[in-house]
Amino acid sequence: MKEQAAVSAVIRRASQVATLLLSGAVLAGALYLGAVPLGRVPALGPFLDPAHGIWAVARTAELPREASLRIAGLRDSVEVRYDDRGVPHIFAQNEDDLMRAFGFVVARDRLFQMELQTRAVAGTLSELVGASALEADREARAQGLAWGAMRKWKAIPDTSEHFRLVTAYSGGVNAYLAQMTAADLPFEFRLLGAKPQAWKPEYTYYLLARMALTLAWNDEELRRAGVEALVGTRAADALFPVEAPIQEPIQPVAGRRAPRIARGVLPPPAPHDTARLAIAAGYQRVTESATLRALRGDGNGEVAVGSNNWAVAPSRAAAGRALLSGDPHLQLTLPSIWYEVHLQVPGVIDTYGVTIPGGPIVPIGFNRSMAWTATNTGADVLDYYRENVDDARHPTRYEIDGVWKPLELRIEAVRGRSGRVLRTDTIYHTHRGPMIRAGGMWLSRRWAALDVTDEGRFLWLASRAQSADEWMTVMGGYAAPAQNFLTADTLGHIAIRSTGHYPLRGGTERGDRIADGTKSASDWRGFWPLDRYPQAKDPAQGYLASNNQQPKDPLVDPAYLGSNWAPPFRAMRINRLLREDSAVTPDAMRRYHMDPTSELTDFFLPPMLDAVARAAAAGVADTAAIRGAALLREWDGRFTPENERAVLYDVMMEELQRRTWDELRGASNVRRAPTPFSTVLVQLMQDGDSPWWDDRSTRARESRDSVLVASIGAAYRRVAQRYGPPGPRWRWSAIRTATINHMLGLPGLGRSRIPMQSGRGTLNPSDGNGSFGASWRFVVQLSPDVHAWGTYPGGQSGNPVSVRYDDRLPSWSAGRLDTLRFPRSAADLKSPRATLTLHPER
Amino acid sequence: MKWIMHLVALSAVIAALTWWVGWWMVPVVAAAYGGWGARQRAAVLTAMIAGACAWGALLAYDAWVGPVGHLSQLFGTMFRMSGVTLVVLTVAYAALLAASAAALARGARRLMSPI
Repeated sequence: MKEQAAVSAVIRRASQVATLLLSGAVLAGALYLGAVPLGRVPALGPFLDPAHGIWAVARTAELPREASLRIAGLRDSVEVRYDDRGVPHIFAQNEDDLMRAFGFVVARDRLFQMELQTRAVAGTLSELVGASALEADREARAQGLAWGAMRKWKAIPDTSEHFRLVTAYSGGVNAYLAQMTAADLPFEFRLLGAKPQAWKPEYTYYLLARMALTLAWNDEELRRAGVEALVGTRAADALFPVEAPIQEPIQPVAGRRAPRIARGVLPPPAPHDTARLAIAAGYQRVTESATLRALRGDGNGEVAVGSNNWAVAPSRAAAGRALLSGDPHLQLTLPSIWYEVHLQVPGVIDTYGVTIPGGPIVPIGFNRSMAWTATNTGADVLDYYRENVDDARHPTRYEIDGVWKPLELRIEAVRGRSGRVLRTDTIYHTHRGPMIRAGGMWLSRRWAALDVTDEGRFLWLASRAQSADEWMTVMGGYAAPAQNFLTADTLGHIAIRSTGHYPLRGGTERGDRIADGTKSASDWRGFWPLDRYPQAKDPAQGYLASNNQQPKDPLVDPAYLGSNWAPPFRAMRINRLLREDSAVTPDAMRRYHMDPTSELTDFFLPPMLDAVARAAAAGVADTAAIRGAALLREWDGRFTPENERAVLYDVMMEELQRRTWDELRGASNVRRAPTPFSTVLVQLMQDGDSPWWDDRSTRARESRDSVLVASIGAAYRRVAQRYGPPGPRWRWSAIRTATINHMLGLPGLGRSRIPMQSGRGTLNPSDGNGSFGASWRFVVQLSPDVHAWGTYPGGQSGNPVSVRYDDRLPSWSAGRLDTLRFPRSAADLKSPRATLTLHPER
Repeated sequence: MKWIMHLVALSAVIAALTWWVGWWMVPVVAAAYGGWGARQRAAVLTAMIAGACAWGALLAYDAWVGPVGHLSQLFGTMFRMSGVTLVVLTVAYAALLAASAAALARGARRLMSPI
């Protein structure tokens, strides 16, 4: 009996031990999953915690109705009132406090975006998202973006007002970080299992460098090297001309009311040069990197991107007040690139506009006296130099004027999430800038955006200007990225100037070819004087506009400013609209943003219809071409959402370009060079028998007419195959839509298939994937009480479950503008959505 | 009745300490409960249900003040799964932590008691 009891006790004890071990193992496993991230899966404990984890994102989605905080560094209290659109109106007593509060409120809404953009410039994305960002990080470091930004920041005297203000902004961001609770951590940080880094003042300059990369990275030398290898130098000069074949400049030409169209015959293509092609392939890897493609599109940039601005003098405005409209087009993301804000310090600044999160400036906006906006100039401010170095693999010196000079070395170690070094690169610098190895040679790069200049200060001072004149004066020293800055004021003045540092070059004065780096004569000798910049003020025509086209007609000034200018079809359209309307209203300005007509169509549609008619009469047109032409004959030429013909025209243009420029594809039929702009195609249309029309893949020799007929036939077949017979499925609204991806490309956080009224050559261009478009549209009427309307594709909040994340998309898509509230004081902003009062620390 | 009172009290403690301290208080509280209630047969079950209830209640509060439904749908889209999966996973994780911690503590306590 005793033995039985003992055995039973042992069994029970063994069972207890087994249960203990099992529960211990389960708990250990659960705790391990709770505390340690597994691959891309974050640690489950802090992630799922309903108090502080991912669920808190829902709890903190909206701003509290009222909040009051004490933050370090403030001198006086600052009141922030959020209006019904989620725009913070910041009322401070001095500029330092204003900047501190500015940094605080932007971080409150867009912290992850600030972090991501900063890291993209610094080349530290891999530390946040892992090794998948390694190549992007290496590229950013090789470009020297952060290196250049740091040089700019270090050059600012620490006693200057601007240094103080940027530091105050940075302090505001850090004050937000300091008071942030675990529940406030943005969604993306939680997914990545990361924490935000402390903000440094120089990060503001990182973001300006990012803008420069987007807008002023001009590597035509490398891109045209591929064209030269494929078709020869003469033909390359004609396909990518320094002077745009159609001139509708920003700086009006007295007495001219129509564009100047160049006549002339394109030189024939030369045979492929295999040796140069191999070099060009190396260049192509540089010009078509993932980062650059993401920033500027990878296909036909003409179709995808195009910013607009225009202003109307009081003499042509219905209300007798100057009007200004801004419509910058960029890559569209969620959260949006822009953040709307109103900044006020009584007697010092009272400015409303959009800011880039992380940058304490309002690059586009208005105040009580004036408004300003910009389009990209696209001038050539980046040159490449072929360098002769002492060692092809590990150079230490480079040759200049027969003398060997030491290279400066920059060691760049890219780290992963764990802090482990993923890759170490040595970046070599000549006196011109960083070098890259491409096409089997060392090339150094001189880029105006890396020069020691202070764009942030100019933009900040300009936002306080009281007139168009003062604004232009303040901005005289602005360097990069060069912009077509347009201003209008309550005094009734309108003015435009393509502002930026334009290099004076040695040698041929052209920057679209790789220069000889062994000669100091190739170096830049300075910059254009301000009075030579393309500009105009209060022109007789009563309006001004810019649309990225060549800003000055070379007949007026033949100096090289750049090449490969955006086609002026948008400029031609807005100029026509403004010319034909002598009593422009703000609502008309709004409608122009979405105008569905393209001036480009007139150059191609009638010749195509005529060509098909001739071919049909001769009995050589196929059925598809005849059907397609019949359908397009019914088209009103407008890219309206309900239109069922625009798709056919759009595909026809694709076919026409592909068939015409087949010489620019290599032997394997892969695109080896950029596609010439449609302005060159317009020029070619005048020469029906040019060898460029010949399709190399056929034995016959094609002419313009046969290519036009083949293009419409192929387009009809493609469209019918994809969308069925002509009918509702051909509706433009179902085909041309916008896609706005989240900054990390996370599914569910972006928005797709957003209807938009846009088309090839219209004022609202968009490519097939629709990831570029109007990033901010606004209209300002410069009456004594300034009135403004605007919207952008997204919302003020970076929180993806906030109603303010994408609440503006419907109005943006429909071309509506919201009324922008511009209160004179905090008390003027009735029934705010939320208020935040910031007090100094005791 | 007594069991329900235990359950409610335990849930409240877990919820409060999760809120004020953090997620890891779930196993701590459950372990304490498991050790204290080692002689109760249902101690582990009670801890498991209390863990789930505590986090469920916190989730309900989140849903009351914010768009939890939107958030769970967003996760569904991101990870190609049903929108409720994350909700279920959250509650289940708390239950697992609480049950395993309570079982470990209860087992240890019973092991230390004389045969």
